[in-house]
Amino acid sequence: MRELMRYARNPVVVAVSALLLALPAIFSITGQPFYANMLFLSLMYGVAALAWNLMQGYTGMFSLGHAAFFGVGAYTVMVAMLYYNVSPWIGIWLAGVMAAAVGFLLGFPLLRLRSHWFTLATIAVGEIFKLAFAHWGYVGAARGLQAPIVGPSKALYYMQFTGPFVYVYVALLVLLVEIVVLYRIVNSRTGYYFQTIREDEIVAKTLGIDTFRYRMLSLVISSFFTGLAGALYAVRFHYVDPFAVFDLITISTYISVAGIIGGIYSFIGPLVGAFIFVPAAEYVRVKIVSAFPRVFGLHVVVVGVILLLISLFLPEGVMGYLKRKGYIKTG
Amino acid sequence: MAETLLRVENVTKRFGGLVALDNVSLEVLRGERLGLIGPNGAGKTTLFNVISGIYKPEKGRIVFKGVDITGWPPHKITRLGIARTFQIVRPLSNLTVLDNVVVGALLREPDISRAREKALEVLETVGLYEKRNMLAKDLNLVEKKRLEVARALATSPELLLLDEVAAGLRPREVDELVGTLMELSRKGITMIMVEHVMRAVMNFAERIVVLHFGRKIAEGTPKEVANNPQVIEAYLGPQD
Amino acid sequence: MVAAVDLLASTVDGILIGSIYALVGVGLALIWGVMEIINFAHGDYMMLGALTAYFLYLAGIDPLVGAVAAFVVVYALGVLTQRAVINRILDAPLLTQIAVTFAILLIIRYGVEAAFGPYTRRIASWYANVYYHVGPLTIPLPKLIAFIVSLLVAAGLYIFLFKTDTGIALRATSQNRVVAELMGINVKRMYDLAFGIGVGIAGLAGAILALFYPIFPEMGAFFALIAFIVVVLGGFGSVFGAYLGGILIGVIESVSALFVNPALKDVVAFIIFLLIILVKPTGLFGRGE
Repeated sequence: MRELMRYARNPVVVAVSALLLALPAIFSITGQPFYANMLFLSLMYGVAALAWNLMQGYTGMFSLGHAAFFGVGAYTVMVAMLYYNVSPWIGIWLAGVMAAAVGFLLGFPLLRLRSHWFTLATIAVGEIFKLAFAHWGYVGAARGLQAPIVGPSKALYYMQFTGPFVYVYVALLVLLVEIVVLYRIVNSRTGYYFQTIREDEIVAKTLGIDTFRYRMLSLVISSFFTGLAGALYAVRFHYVDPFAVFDLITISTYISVAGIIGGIYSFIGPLVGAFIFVPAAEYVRVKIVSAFPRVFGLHVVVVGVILLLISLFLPEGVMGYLKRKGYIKTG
Repeated sequence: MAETLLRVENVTKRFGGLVALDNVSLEVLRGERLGLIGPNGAGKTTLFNVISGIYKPEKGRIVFKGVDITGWPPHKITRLGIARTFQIVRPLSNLTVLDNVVVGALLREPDISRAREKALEVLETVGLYEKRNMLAKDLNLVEKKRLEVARALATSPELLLLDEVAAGLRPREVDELVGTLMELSRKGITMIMVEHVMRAVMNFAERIVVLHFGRKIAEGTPKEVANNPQVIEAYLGPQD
Repeated sequence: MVAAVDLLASTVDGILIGSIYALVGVGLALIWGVMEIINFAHGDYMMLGALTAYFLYLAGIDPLVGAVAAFVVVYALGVLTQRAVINRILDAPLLTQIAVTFAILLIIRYGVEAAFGPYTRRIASWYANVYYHVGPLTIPLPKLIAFIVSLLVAAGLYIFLFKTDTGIALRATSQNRVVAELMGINVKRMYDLAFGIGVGIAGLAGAILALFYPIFPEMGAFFALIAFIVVVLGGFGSVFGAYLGGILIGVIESVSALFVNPALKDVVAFIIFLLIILVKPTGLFGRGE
């Protein structure tokens, strides 16, 4: 806890948090839902990217299949609400638990693979979940699930608010919980063990580390918080369908690219990356679609080019770059 | 008489058609310093890999502190009290020197700040205290070899397996290292040293085992082994 | 109850389609074996091959000739990619290696979508609707052609790898990069060859697949997935293990379609894949990574 307090004294962290807290209020006053929505999306992807980086940056496992956990989280909120009348306030946390359970089960086969093969298998997992959910009648198959509009007396219970502003605060709450939990984990023995596995799994074993157990732990925690991000999506949009929440590009890839841009060897980097990448990607998409309405896929090419250039020329990401240049010390 | 700490019984390890260890047996007493020598490909590193659990032997048993640890996973063996270094150094490159050792110390001391204290002590012992805040990848080879020893020591082993820690060092550095190891030995840590550098092993070991093509061909004090005709032949070829 | 004749028909069909999976997998395995890089864009080079054959077909060239052209074109693109990008990342950290070939995937797949639209295209060759009846079985000629071409390519690759000096040098490089260099092998050229031939074979597979399969920008996604499963089952980088793995997955998919919704046959293939790595992490025909 003392370490957390020291971190809270870090001026960068204080400034960013203050800004985040202030922004939605500012936006709601000035009435710009477009920007509030952008803020929500950045926070949602930030939650997922931080979780993703527990595996990538700390444990050395590159997942391009986090859409599986994101999607399971999103569906859990909807299923709990529609079929069991569970309020999304509780459903959000159930979503984390469900995603973690899926991560745990998938861990048994997936963790047998390493390096490139692990990543390939995660892509496959995401795609297979999309396919399976698209044919699963219980969850609405390809049509997905939609929450009916409820009256004002039940709006709070079912988390239905006008405009994006309240959701921004919900996302902030989830993010805060995540930061506190993850920060404690990465600065504990568990965090050290994750990093040892990232550097050299054989050495980790000879230092007494049960590497399977710790890789599994990293996967399960990561899927828990990614599930929360997916839950935020469901809560915000009242609608999930397999092609949106299990998407390789707009979920799995966006999460990874945000993490890589921000810097995987930085605790807060992926969050920073989400705040850079998500608005940029959204801006590019809107601009390209309005400029070339009949050209498809061009904005994904732009994402590809960004990823290529970052990987080749700035692989340590923004935070890594700032650290190397001495502009910031921690983070 | 001192207690037997480690017993290797009739261990055989094959890789495809190649027999890397052929029915090897040896014993190490508690507190002893054992040297393990032999020409390249004699099976020395393979034996370490079998003892530390990285390989499973086809035949034979490994008994440590009276417990049969044959086929145990490496992390359990380390927990029971065997630590090792690697012949080709394997620093945790992107962690600091201190954190490399902290990871080892965390095995017995889950509290970070106390593990850090212990790690600093160990770094002092091996002479890396001044370098503690450097990244491990920025150390030179001599320092990396010392880091290997420090990291293993931090796990508080009862048995330490040293795999060619003196290779690539200058004579003066070899003597320094042997001095450090002798100090550790006085603290009661049992050690097996695989070594090519004769200056190190002859000064260090109380007893030497010689492997050749996976078989044990000689055993005795450094002096006895140095005068053993079979050993001389293994190293220099047949003498007419 | 499933009739024996259906089972037989499915098995035969599985072998025919599996021969295409095998080719895509073989290319992936070849690249991994020599360069220890996974080409995440592998399925998209395959799509480029199919597209090449399609445009040549529009220009009046027979798809089988187009398939040869597809190999040449995709081979050239592969060598270009290798020299421009892959060469820079051979010693880079894992993250960079994966991110870069994945970025290439995004650029090719969605570049094609942007350039030519997300539409589905078909090649209507003169043999598209020719069927042979063998006993109770009906075999479409395009699939038979695909199977024969696949066998020819596999045989050609075998002769290349085992009977020519260049092929032997390529295998030496896959055994040990440093030793190969010491023996005077131009390793960079071997990488050009491995990547070029690897994606070239995928391109050729795409072209012959297009004889009976629709062409669309995202078609590579599914085949890359299959190729990956095939290569893991084949033992991580064993070229001929991958070939067998391809046939096996083809049969599994085809037969499972008798019992479950055919739209879910990939799910079945993937679940079987997960079970296999759970039991035998080194793949069915391999010794491991």
